[in-house]
Amino acid sequence: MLLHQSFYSFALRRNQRLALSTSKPPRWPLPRRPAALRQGLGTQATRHQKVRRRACLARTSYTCFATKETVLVGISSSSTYGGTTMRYIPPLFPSFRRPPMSLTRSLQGGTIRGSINLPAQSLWPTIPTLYEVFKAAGLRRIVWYCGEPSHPLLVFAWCFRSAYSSRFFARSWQPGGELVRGPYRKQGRR
Amino acid sequence: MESVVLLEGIKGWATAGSEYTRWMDEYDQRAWVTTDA
Repeated sequence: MLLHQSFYSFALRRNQRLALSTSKPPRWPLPRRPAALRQGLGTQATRHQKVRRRACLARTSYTCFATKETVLVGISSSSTYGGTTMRYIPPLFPSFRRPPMSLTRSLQGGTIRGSINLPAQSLWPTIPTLYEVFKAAGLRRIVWYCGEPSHPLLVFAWCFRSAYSSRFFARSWQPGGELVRGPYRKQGRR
Repeated sequence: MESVVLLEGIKGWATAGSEYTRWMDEYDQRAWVTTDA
């Protein structure tokens, strides 16, 4: 142990001596690259990285809320809304759409017409199925609401958006410069 | 496909007026009045 420490301290001292004596940078400890290079700034980004960055910015910058006025306009008439056409979609399975009123307290008072009632406990594992259903129906915009005001509905909306808003960019590019593995990376590009 | 959250929730929708409650199923005014009070 003692030999070990003394050997490395000797090596350090030798390299420091070399660094002092010559103008060359020392071999050890290795000089860190500049911060700009370490973070990937200033380097030439590939086309794929640029596209991914743009997609991430677009995905995080657009609004994640819809006011009730906008939704009312979209529901009541086929109109152009945010560049996409929003239309009233009749409910998918009318007979199974709504459980008995006595079972669910959150349904007291009514629901917005055409909305699908999903229990919040099983919403997270059914998100992939929901995406397939919505995609088959040709929907362009999903509006979430919950009868319970304190429910973290934003989390579900964010998960849905981050996973399925653009399947090509499932591997998300963070603006900080780190490429983070998304939760759905193993499914590949779709 | 975009994913947005309805601002003010279903409560804001139900208490906004008749033009909004016209687009509700099984609307019960008493439920919303009692939750407000």
